[in-house]
Amino acid sequence: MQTDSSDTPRTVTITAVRDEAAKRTIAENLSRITSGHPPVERVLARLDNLPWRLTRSASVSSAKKLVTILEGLGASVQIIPPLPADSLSDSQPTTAVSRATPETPTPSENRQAEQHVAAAPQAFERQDWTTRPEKAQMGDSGEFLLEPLSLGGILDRTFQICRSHFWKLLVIASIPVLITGGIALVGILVFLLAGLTWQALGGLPQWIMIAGALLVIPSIIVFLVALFYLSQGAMIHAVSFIYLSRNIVIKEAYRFVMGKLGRFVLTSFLFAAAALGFVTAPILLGIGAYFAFRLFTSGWWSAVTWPFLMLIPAYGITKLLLFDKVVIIEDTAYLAALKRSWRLIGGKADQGWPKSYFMRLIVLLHLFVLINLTITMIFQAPAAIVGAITSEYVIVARIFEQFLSTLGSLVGSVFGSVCLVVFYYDLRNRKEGFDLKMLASMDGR
Amino acid sequence: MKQNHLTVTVETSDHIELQFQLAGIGKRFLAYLIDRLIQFGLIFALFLVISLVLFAGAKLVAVADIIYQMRQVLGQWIIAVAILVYGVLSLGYFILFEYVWSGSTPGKRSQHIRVIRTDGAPISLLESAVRNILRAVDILADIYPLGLVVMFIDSRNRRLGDMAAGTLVVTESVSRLPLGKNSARSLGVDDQQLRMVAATMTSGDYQLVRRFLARREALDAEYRQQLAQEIVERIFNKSSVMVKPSNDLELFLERVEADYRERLRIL
Repeated sequence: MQTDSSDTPRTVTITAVRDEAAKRTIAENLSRITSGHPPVERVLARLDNLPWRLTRSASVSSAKKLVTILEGLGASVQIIPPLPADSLSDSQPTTAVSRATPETPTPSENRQAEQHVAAAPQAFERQDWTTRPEKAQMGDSGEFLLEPLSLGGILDRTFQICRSHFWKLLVIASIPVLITGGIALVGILVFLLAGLTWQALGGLPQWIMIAGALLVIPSIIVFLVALFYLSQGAMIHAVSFIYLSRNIVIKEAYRFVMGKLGRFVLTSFLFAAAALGFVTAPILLGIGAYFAFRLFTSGWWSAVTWPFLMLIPAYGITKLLLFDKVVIIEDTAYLAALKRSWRLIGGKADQGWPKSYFMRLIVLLHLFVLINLTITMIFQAPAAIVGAITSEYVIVARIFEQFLSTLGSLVGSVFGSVCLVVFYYDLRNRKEGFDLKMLASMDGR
Repeated sequence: MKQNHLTVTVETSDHIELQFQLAGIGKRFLAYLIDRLIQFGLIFALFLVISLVLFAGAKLVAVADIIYQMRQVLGQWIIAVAILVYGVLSLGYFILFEYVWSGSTPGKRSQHIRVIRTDGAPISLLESAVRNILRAVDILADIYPLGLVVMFIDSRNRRLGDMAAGTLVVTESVSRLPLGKNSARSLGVDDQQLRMVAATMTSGDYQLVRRFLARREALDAEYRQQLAQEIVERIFNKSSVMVKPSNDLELFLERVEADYRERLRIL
């Protein structure tokens, strides 16, 4: 047993409340004696999540006072290191508090919690106050609790994910830009080194020009499309892993999507076709409305129907927006993925605003637009300043502007991807109990 | 239990440690938007009232003359006063609410967040004034570019105003109790077996059951049934009771949850 010193700081922990009926009294008294007088409800909520380490730096007299008050109220308290035997000999409550009901044994799980608390002070250090991420008792870091979120909660989670894995996600998003930029740079260097000019190219035989165009241009298009979808899929996969508190490796994210690239691209084309259909439908309906109105009056009165017709593409395209998440995360493709997205963004939540999941997505998209505007402003403002300063060096200013603009759009795309993945999982948590399923499948945790 | 938010531990002068959950950037942004909408509504309402009064007043010739003379004398001062009123309303809204409502505004209240001092105490008028005056630096064109960057970089989600005033924005927890139904329907297991099953439950099992019962109404029907089945399987796998409930699985989970809670209370 360590030698007691009156200067040794004490850790005081409430380990249990012996009687539920006394909990309110304990909370009221704690609220009263605590500086700042936190609301009783907050203290009560804290007492529901014991053990509660009150302090790690109490003096002997403060610890003694706390113990006598709390034990008198009916709470079980642990002091580490224990108080000297004589310090408690005349312990009487100094405040008029109601006594708790006779002592009863602490619940077994609180005993387990006590053992955990006993281990904690070995790493004691005096702290005034600090912000630290509260890590899971297993010692994992950066884990996210799966639970249904409000709109504010979805944005919070988005910012948390972006902040904790910012550089990794930025690299994933920027790989296509870096590759295409690198290829363009290499091409320019080759042209310059070989002394090629447009006049020299114009002197080539026509069949070479046509063959080149037929081979090169489609290849470039396919390559760029594949690169874009690879990056998008890798981003979704990476964010999904982060959300589920798993480690991500950039190479693994791209490799995962490589296996699904064909299905992903074809499903995207299907989505594009569906979007085209949703855009075409109101045009055709508008034309029909024009001729219908012409039967009675001027056809241009059909313009009153246009605002309502414009809702058709907005509604249809929004309902299909989660198709890419379905393809990457659930391994469902083509029409099934579109149907799944349609069904997912349907129905109403039991709490929160807005209740309709579709309206939630609409509000979230509007909030994303505002935040994207802010992100754009953050990057364009320095570009404008540099442009003004280096007005004599136009090329430098243009390159810098382009660089910042590209960076801003990449950061915005990262944010948007994360936001939609978090929304997708929130829908699954709410509608399918995905988080409850995950919890149920975790054995013994 | 794992946590996904930053928490801050505050030690008061009485050496009591209080833990608060920091409000995230998203909730703060949303709370600000809601407050701005309310402010615009108030300013618009004020503008409407003044317009109506002037419009009604202008009907009377004498009042119209007075108004005309005031315009001639005051001139640009009217615009200056209008800008001042706008500024006072914009700033005063936040300062007043945060002081009177202990760190809350209508927007913050809707997101269940509030402002506190770094020692856990409610904020004073001075701190409210400092953090809200500096909001003008944070918001720049009303979309918070600087504030967003600072909050993103700072580990405690503080903007410049929070740093200057020594405040934090924290979340207030909102607890929900499970929805319980009283039903006399038969379970297919007797009370003794039910107690045996509840006795082998861990706190993790209890949390799972509790969360399921609180949210089951929002779940799609097929997933609700599936999930109830999985949870019952999980609980039964740990107990020695062989007979599983044949009828209402959710009723069984309600009973088990109630029994577990009762056991803790008795202990």
